[in-house]
Amino acid sequence: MKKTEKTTYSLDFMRRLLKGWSSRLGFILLALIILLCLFGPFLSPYGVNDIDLQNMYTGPCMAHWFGCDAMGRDILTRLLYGGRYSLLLGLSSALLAAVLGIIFGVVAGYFGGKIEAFIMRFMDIWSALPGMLLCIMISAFMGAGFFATVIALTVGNIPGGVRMTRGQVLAERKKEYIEAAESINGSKMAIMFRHLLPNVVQPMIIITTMSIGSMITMAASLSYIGLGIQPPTPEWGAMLADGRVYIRNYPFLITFPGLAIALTVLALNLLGDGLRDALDPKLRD
Amino acid sequence: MSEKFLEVKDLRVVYTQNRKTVQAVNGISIRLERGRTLGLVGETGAGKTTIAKAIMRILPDIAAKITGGEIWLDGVDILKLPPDEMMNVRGEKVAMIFQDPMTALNPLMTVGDQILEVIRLHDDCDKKAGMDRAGDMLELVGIPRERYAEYPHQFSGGMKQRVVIAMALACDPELLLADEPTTALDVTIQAQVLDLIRELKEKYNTSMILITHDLGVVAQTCDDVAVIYAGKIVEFGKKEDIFDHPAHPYTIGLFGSLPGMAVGEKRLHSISGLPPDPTALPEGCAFWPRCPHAVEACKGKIPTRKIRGVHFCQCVKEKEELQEVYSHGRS
Amino acid sequence: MGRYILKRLMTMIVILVCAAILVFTLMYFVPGDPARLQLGVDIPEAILQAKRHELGIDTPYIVQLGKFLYNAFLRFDFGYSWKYGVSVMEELIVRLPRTLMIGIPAMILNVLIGTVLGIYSAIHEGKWQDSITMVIAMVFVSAPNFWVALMFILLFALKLNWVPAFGIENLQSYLLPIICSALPGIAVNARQARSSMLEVVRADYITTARAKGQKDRVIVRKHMLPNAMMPIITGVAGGLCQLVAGSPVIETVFSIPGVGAYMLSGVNLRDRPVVCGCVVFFALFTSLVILIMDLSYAFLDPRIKAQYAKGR
Repeated sequence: MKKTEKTTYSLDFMRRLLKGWSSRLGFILLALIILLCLFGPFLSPYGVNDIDLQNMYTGPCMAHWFGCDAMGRDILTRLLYGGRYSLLLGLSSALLAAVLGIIFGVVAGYFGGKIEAFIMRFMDIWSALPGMLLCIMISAFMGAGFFATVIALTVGNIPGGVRMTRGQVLAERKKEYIEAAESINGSKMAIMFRHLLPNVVQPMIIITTMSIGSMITMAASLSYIGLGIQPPTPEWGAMLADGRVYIRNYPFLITFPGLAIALTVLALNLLGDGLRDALDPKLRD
Repeated sequence: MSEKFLEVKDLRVVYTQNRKTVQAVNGISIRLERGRTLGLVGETGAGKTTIAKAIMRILPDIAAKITGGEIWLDGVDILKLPPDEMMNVRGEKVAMIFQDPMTALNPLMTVGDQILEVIRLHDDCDKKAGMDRAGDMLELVGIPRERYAEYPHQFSGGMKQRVVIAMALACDPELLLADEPTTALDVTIQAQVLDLIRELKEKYNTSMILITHDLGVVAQTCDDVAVIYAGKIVEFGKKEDIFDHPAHPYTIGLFGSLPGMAVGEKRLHSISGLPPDPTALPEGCAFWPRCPHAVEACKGKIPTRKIRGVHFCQCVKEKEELQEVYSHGRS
Repeated sequence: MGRYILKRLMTMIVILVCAAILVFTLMYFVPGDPARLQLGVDIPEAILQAKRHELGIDTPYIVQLGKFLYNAFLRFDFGYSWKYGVSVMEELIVRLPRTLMIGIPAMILNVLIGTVLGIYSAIHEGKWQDSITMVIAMVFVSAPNFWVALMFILLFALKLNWVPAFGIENLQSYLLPIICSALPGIAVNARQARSSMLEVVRADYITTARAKGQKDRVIVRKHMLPNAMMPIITGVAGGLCQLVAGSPVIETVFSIPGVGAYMLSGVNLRDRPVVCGCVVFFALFTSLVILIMDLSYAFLDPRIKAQYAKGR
């Protein structure tokens, strides 16, 4: 019985999510991009790092749909590989930032007092440095590489999540079900994570979906200015950094990687908008 | 009896949302004479507020549409008025008191300025005189005029409702639409606010439509009562008719669910079932799925039965049967 | 109110100092030997030692930190660049106008165009004007800023030759950077302004205003806009901070020797005084924006003003 209730709820949710054309477009686009990045490389006749000096700077043609770069590597193949990096980077840092943001936010909001004051003052200091600047510095501090970049992106984006979760908790903890849980002597941990968490997590889902997109962009910016993921790794931002020297003569080197980022982020944002409309009861009726 | 002042003929309003159509008001006709008070009674979602907003023509443009009917106010069909002339009617000739005083006031404007706004819209006066009038209005509803420059958040709920009332009465409207003016208030404040409305109404000989689901309020305030179910008037009559000789099974159900109204009752009756889904109203009488006396004929065309004088009822049962139903409902 | 502002200013200074400590510490523990980075690889230890002494990095962490804080906050001196030996403060003063030449016009465009588009869109909710505006906004919210900049360079500078592609030769060369910096902010603000206007449209007090017989135009100006303003301001402030944070990237794309590019060169060369100077400077700007934002809330909303006056 309970199971069916749950499935109808999620069915209903999916229906609401995919009601609008924009979120449907976002969903399809994202699914397509993910599938392409997962399986696309197997379909490509070229290897990701196959250097082909015959085909240096070859423009888009039948053999190389998106052209070849300065070392004759097939750009489409590299884009498909790079998508794995970009998507994984975005996803893991957005999730990590969300989890940390929720933990600190719930703790601050629920306990209040000194703990809250400490966490929030710390967040104030943190966010006095805008996200991207912090990312740049942490990235310099941590060095290049996938893991280091994830940390840099995560650290730069925690305060927003903490603030929002705390706000939610403050609004939610005044409600009676929390009082009820407290009145039957529920443990603090249980109240925080069993009762509060599910009720404050929804807006976080929306924010996180959108922040995957902004993380991908930030990761690309980092690579572009020479930090984060470095060439020859085919991350999209790194490919842009690779190609920018040739902007005058071979503009396709920067067009396609940028387009890939833009489309991915667009899909995520459309989906995020749809999620907001589907989850936000205020806008439902 | 004086001339009829407001006449609503066969009003129909439709809401559209996500390509679903909701029949909110389903052919309602109302007559109101000057100085009298009509109570619109019914459950939440029966379409009472929609009627009032249709008379004001302040239904949300995108979602709602008046699909039929006429609204004659003082000899003019206001549904045919051009928008700019309608603006002169609103606030001056017809004013509305809103349900929730907590949200009906702009939180960023002082209460005085909000009253001033309506005064200066309709009366040709300078700011100084207008502010004076707004101060008078505050005092009229029992708020010291020194509080003119305070903001809504500095007032309690009852006080805010007084401000809303002052705003509605500021231009001496001829017709007052009071949409559950006391629902959001404490019981003790309710009586005060009702007394206030009644007093002011008598002072200015204003006609009023009072929307409520509280029969006690109706008993205190109204001359006539229209019982509304699913966007239709199922029973209409003088207050005494409705209270002493309710005819429609729904009206009887409403009274049965009230403590103290049914004499000698040990327990309250509730109307079984839920209000109908407005997107899919049942054929015929919308009440039949919940009606204890439903018969096959209820799904067909429902006749309007005259009971006595102005007392009307929409039910398939004959007058005598209805009276019997009524006495049955009591026993 | 005055006391509140004073209190906020004090907090701001404390936060700035803490942020400075954070940056300094980060840069202090960045791997690599500054002396070796300046001088090269095959340098005898003695010379390296002398260089370290010259840079003042042979003392313990706490001493260096204290010195940095003292100089930065009491003498407004961030020291000399390790790489170039130029005073960081002087360099900042030279570079600041270039960054502001982009930032201030971008900010103005941001606020004006973004908000107006959002309101326009909200007023035409569901019609084609709304759809087009929102689709365009969505595109510019999604496309990476620096890539849009590259595409604009490609189109307007290299293909059409309307403006120079790189550098700061003349005023026209600021045109593209300004537009590219402003675009994402405009898009974000338009979306924000639209949604907060739409939220306000449904508010009961708007119905009240209509019931008074007020004209639609006046309702928008007098009742809707002030109530929709707070989230819009939040968005604008966020956009400003983004603008600052994005300056290293945008300045790199357009080869503009501004503060952002300076910071980035400092990061790449592990030039601690440069990085700390730039970051403290950016943090000061951000804090001021947030302070102004909070104060304007109080100006707009009597409820918040009452809270402040109580001395929260």
